[in-house]
Amino acid sequence: MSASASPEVAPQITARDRFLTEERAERLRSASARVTLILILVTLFLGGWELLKWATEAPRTTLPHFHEVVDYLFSINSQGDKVWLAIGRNLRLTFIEALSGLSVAIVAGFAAGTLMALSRWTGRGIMPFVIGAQTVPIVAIAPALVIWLGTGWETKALIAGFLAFFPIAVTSARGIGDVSQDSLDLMASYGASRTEVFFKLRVPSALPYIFTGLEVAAAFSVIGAIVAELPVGSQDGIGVVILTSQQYFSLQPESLFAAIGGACLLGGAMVAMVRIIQIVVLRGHRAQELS
Amino acid sequence: MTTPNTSSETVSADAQTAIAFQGIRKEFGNGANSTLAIESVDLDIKEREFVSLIGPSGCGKSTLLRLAADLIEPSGGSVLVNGKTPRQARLDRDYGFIFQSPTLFDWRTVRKNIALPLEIMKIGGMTRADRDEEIERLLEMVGLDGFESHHPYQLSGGMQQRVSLARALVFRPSILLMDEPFGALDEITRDRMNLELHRIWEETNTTILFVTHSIPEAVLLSGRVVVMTARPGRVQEIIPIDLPYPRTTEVEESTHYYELVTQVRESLGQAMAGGP
Repeated sequence: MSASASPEVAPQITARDRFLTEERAERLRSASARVTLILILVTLFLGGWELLKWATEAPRTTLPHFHEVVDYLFSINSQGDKVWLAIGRNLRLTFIEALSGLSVAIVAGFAAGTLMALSRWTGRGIMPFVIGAQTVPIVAIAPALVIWLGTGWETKALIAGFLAFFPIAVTSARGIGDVSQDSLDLMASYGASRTEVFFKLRVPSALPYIFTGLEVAAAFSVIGAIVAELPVGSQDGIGVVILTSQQYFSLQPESLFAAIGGACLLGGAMVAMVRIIQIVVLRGHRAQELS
Repeated sequence: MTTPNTSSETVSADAQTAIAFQGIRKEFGNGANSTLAIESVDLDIKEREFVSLIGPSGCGKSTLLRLAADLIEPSGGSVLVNGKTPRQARLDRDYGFIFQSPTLFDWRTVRKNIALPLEIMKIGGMTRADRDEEIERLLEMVGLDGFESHHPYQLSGGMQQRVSLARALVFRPSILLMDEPFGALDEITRDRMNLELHRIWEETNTTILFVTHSIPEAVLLSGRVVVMTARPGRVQEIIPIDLPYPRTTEVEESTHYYELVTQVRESLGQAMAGGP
């Protein structure tokens, strides 16, 4: 960008270019190492599955072969649908519930965390509720909420959000509050307003913390949505598929494993989504560089 | 004078004094648990002067600096910065503060770190191009051209402190308040930074109040060295440093330099022993 092309500048630019190339090569090395690790883990998982089945001589009605589960996925169910498509449709609904809940939890959790960090009295007032919310057994309260609010997706989103709220609130509080006195003094020396301190210092320095909480919250939101689907009355969702598969386990053991696999996939996809957003948002943060 | 310093010119009586401490007393805490950090300090720092504060740990050197910066308030006495209250001086952006830790924002590149004060101050009549040009000029001044897109954690400690210096200079304050800025650097880097700071001081027409633990550093850089006593901090002695300018490595090797270092060391020894 600079128009200057003096001979003194040139060697510095090459040094910097070399630095960047090394960085890129390092990133590539770590990416390929990660892929190798994943492949090894998948192999170990499948090997362990089949080894367990072989060692315990478990019949199909206890533990089917992995390939039987895969075959089942591509079969046609009693409604004449492809099984994997039917599971996918249910996953989509659960995904929408979890995502809506997570979105609400992000807004509410960030707001509560900010209050806890910045406002001494309001923060102290909120704290017991935040901790209390975490100790409520969600499995016990879900049926009550379904009775009060109905079996619609909104109820499930609410329960998903309830579970996701806590990690976001706690990490937001920690991140927003954790800025050095020097940084605050620096901003004060520029005559910065509270709003400027919040948006230019507190929020950016809190982001790595918040994303750590967000990863946990993403997984929690899926669990919350599934648990909310379990009470009687729900028609669709992967939680319902798990429940029905369990009832027909002795006839069709593969369906439960397929449903569980689907639920895991959804949880994983949710966390991966957060990770990708994190990589984009935290470009340049030191925490990003270290992870 | 390139420094925009219109406000101090209106106060003609104090036009030559950049910072005036009068009968300063500072207590921390209250009641029985209070500590008297500074007692009856009177000190005038003239415009364009380079003054170092040196003294045993806990003598209130940094406290004086923070009083001038309006980061804390005195328990007694008064401070005037460019003839104004420290608060007004802070709001008028009369000074730049440099901490011992570079205090850079990790998520910002070098360029954006330097631009931070400009973003907050919204200085009128400055276009984006002006801003970029100003940052370019400072990067060159502190010897960091080519590194504007790096993040702080990709730089060495010395380079980080250069960014911090550029950030303090970007809005052209008339005063720099420096709190042991090179204290965390290794000896070699520190020596180089000292000479560069001296060059920058001469180029920018600023007044510098500099807190340090290092006697050679204080002597090499300053026009006057203020030696302070242990807690409660008082002014033990003000030693004028009559070394020739510009201060270079040759000055550092002269016998007079060593005489002055000895003089400051002896004065500091007396200060530690409890004063004359």
